[in-house]
Formats: sequence, C-alpha cells, structure tokens
Amino acid sequence: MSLLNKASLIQIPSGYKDGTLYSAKPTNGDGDFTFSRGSNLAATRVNSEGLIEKGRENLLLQSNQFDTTWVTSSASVNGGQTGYDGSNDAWLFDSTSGYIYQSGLGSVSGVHTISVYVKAGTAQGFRIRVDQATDSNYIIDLSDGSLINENDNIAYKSTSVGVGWYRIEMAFVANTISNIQFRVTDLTGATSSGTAYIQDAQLEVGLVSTDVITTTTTTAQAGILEDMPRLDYSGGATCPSLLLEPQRSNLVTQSEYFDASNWSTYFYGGASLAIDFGYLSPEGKNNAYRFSYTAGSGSNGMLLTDNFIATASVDYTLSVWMKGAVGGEKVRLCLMDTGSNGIAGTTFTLTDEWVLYTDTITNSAGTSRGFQFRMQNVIGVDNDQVVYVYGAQAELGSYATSYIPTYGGSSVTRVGEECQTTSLQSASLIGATAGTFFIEANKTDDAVWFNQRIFLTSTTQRSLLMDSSAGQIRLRTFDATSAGTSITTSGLVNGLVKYLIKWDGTTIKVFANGVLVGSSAQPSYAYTTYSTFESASFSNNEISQISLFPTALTDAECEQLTTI
Amino acid sequence: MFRKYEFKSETEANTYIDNLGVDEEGNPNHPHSIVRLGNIVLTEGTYDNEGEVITEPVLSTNYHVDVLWSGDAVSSWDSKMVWCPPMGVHTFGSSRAIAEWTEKCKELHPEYFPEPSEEI
Repeated sequence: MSLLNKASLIQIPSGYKDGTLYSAKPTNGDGDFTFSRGSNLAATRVNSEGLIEKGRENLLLQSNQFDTTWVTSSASVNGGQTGYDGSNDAWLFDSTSGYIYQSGLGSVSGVHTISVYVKAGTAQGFRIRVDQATDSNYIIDLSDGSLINENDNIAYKSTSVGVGWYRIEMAFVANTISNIQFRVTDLTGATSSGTAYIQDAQLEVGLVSTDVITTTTTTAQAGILEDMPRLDYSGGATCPSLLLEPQRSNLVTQSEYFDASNWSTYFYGGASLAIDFGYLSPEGKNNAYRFSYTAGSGSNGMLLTDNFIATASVDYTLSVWMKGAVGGEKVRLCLMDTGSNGIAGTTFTLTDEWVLYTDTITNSAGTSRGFQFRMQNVIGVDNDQVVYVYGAQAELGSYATSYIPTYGGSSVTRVGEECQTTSLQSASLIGATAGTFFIEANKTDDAVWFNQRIFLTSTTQRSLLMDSSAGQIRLRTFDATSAGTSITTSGLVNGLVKYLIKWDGTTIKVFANGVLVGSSAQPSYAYTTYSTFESASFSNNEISQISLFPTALTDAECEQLTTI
Repeated sequence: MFRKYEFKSETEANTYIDNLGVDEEGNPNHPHSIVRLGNIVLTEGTYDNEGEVITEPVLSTNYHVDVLWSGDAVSSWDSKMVWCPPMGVHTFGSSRAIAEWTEKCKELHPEYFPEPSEEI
C-alpha cells in the first residue's frame, strides 16, 4: 500500500483558481490552500508549452460593444455582423468622414499595444489613431492589409485571419492619451466616407497584441491573475511545481523595449549596433529584439545600458533571455551605468537556442549602476554577430527569480507569495498529539529558499518553523514562549529535496532525502493549537508535493517516503 | 492599496517601517509589502558620445518608500504620503492597485492628468 494512502492531506499542485490551490486529498475542500500574491502584471511563469506566460489586461471598456462607451462622430455602428470568428459579433462602422473613439484613457502610460479586427466594407483604408501629446498612427489598405502610412509608434503589423479579416495592431508609448480612434480612409490615408467591419478592440501593456480579452463595464484580466497560483514548467518539466517567490523588483526600466530612450548606446573603434524588433521570443510572440553587431577595428566595441540607482555593497542579479543566430556569439553582462561606473560581469557564449542567462554581481560602494550589454573585442567579439534578446531583469538579491516585465520607464515590483491551509486540527489533518509533515521541493539556491511553518494562527510562538540556514533546512520548535531545539540538515545540494518532520507526543524527528537528520524532545504544550500550515512570503520554492498525516509514521516509512 | 511616501531620511523611514511590526529576529511580521526606493532620481544624468558624464544625475535628498497595504493605508503614515504624475514611476504590478492609485491621484491632482489641447 502506498504511504500516501495514509495521508490526510495531499497537495500535488495541479488544480487551481485565482486565490485557491486545490488539494488532491481531502476532496471536500478542507485541505485546500488559499494563495495570495497581489500582482498580476508583474508575475510570469513558464507554462505547459514551455512558453513564458504573463498577466494580461484589456484596458478598453466595452471592447466589442461599439455603441456603448464608444462615441461616434459623423458615423454610426450596427452590430450583428458576421465576424472573423464566424460569430455574429462584428460591427458595421459606417462613416461620413467621421470616426469612433473611446476616451478616459489619460492615466495609461508606458508601452502599450492597441489592436482591432477589421474587414473592408466600401472603404479602402482603415486608421488607428492614438490621440495624445504626440499622436501615434497606423493606416492600412483594407484590400491586402498593406501599409498606407504610420508615424510615432514602436511597431505595427496586420495579420490576415481569413475571409478578408485582418487583426491590425500598433505598439506605442502612451503619454496622456486623449482618446483612441478608428477611422476609414482613402488610399492616401485621408479620412473618407465608407464602411468597414470591426470587432474586438484591445489595449494592453507590452509590444504585441495577445489573445482577445472581452470587456464590458470594467477592464478585464487574463493569463496570470493577481492571486493565481503559478504552476511552473521550467526546464521542460512534464509535471508542474508550485512557484513561490519572495518580493522582488525589476530595476530595468524597459525590460523588452530595447530601442527605448531608456537604453543608451555607446560605440567606439568603429563598432555599431542595429536594433530591430519583431522576432520570436520565449513568450511565443514576435516581441524579441535582434541585435546586429558590426565590429570595428583595434580597440572597439558596443555598450547598451539601462541606468538605475543601486545600493552599495550588496548582491544584484542580472538575467536576460538570449540566443545567437548561429551559436558561439559572445555577450558580457555588467552592473554598470552609462558612464561604465560599476562592476564587470560574466561573458556568456550563446547557443542558437533561447537560454536564460543569469549573473550575480556584488556591487561596490557606488550607487549609480545599470544593466549593461557589452560586445567588444576585449571579451572575444572580433567579428560581426547577431544576437536575439528578450526580457532583461536586474534585481536586488543573490539569485534570479521569474521574469517581471517592465514597460513604463520605471521599476516594477512583484509582491511575495503566500499559501496556507488553516484547518489542520478542525479537519483532523493532523492528530491532537501526533502528526507527520512531508514536502518535496526543488532547492534552487543557498540563500533564502525555504520558509514553511505549522503554527497557531496569528502567533509566532507555538510553531514548527522551517527556514533556511546556510543553504540547509533548519527546523525550530517554538513552545509557548521561546524557540526550542533546532534540527538542521547537512549536505543538501541544489535539486530535488524530500523533507519530513514527524512528532509523536514525545519526540520530534526530521528526515531528509532518505536519512534521519536528528531528533529532539517535543515541547510540552498543546499541539491541539496547531491550525495552519503556511509557506511564507519570503520563500523561494518550487514545490511539487506537500502531505500531512494524522499520525507519526514509523522511521522506516519516513525513510521510504523521503528517499529520492 | 498602493501609496507613495517621502521621509526626511532613511532613519525616519526605518522607524515607520519597523513600527509596522517585526518578529524577534527582525523579520517583518506585518502583511504589507514595502519597497524602498531610496533617494530617487529627480533629473537623469547626461553623457557625451564617449559615455563620459556631462551632468551627474540629481537625486532626491529625501528617502522614498512605496507600500502596497493589505487593506487600508495605516493612518499614522498619512503625513508622509506624496502624489506624483503616473508616468515613469515605480508600481507593484497589480492592475487593481494601479487603477485605485491612479483614480485617487487623478481626484486629488487633476493637474497631473492634462488632456491634449487638440480637438477631436
């Protein structure tokens, strides 16, 4: 019989909804975990397809209800038309040199993408206009989706989706938007009279459009939601682990828009760099940049830097996805500002596959720093090379955490994550005097990577507290007033860890990876007060299983359960 | 709820932050999320074509802290609360928090949200 048949609670991360991680056992909900993070746009994961998945939001209201919130001028709209998706959800936009617009977007700032599905009626062209301090425009020929005109945007494209429909999109930097307009035009781009079909407008952060999110009276979110547990498939995993990370801020101010003014270039010795947008990224979207480096002669090279203010004498970790056009390309990542004040980092030799490169650098006494790419002869870049880049991140800490996108010209923080289940005693998930706790997780670093506790809600005392100590797991048994004996593992290395605590009313024992770590006397207070298991917000875990038992398993069972 | 605060010094900020609660080992035991922005850049530095500094960045002499409160903001912090235009400022990456902060900022400081003068 499997030992897990004896378990009162089995948490193998799989089923979830926003704010809840369902347990496989019990099935009545008593063992489900509540989950909180409070960040959606700052949270990402690697999904089951191996792609980076983000939190998304459509900032337009009534995104496919063009007679509500939207305002027409010298134009009309008529719903119930055949759409690109075979529905009757499209709208006929009939303009007499007029337009349709939505306002109320004045607080939207930073890199955004506006998109809408369009199809020709009687009009020849179609225009997206972002009416702001400096307008952004994109105008297409409705007969084939080709460009008529554009200005003051980051990128634009039209994608044929069949039966005459195109999804057209424009990435731009939002700055005090007055309104977003759609117009029909002639082939010169001038506003004209005529008709076009429209459907599913969307305004979202980032450089590309994503799957349609339909809104009504409020904005709507999709992808990673604010309190959605992140089941992560990093490294090609076939079974997910629960990603629990501490609070981190990405200090890079434009993590994807490498052509932004936030990134400054410096060339010497005749070297140069062309930066082009629109290449397939680890996100599965065409939102990566291509760096085409042209070498100079003699002492030569290129620096590309996004500045930020750092704290002196602490660790920072730089991370970025990169791949070479053919493999063998070299890039150095440095903790340096535009003036090259700072610390030189590691030179990486790229492959022709996307890889997340990370570099932990201890800052010196200075505070003016930045995320800096270097290609130069002194690191072995003697010839021209092409490198693809996506998702730059600089964070305070000794290890990299998951990607935090930044689009607004400033840092963004992902809040620490917590999950807990609170009915340990009332649902008999552990016994009144005895129980067993088991966790299987990936040890990812030697710093703050482990923080779990079984405790009386709302108190620090009366708990079994598991934290990290010099890269090992330390169990501390708090009684009602103070910390009791500690039991600390030894020899745990990065990778899979199976860890277990059992208590039988007299003794507490700890097992890790098939071995008894140590034991101590059980503090003499009422274990009936244990109510909650929590994975706290300064953990850094990839948890693949948590189990609780209402009894103390035998030593042999503990060894069996924890053997890797 | 997300709010921005400005203190005269890091020491003053630490006093406010510690008063939110720490455990016996100095770890925070309150439910709020704190980001120390420190002495923020008021004016970016400028550099010549060779990367040499033309003008150093100008930093605030005050110490800045952003807080994502669990629930309402703690009222004892109110005197340190500051507001600014929403462009290019640190956020917590939360749609809900950003929307609430922006709406409140617009209510208190409509001058930070100028509409373009161009007529439609």
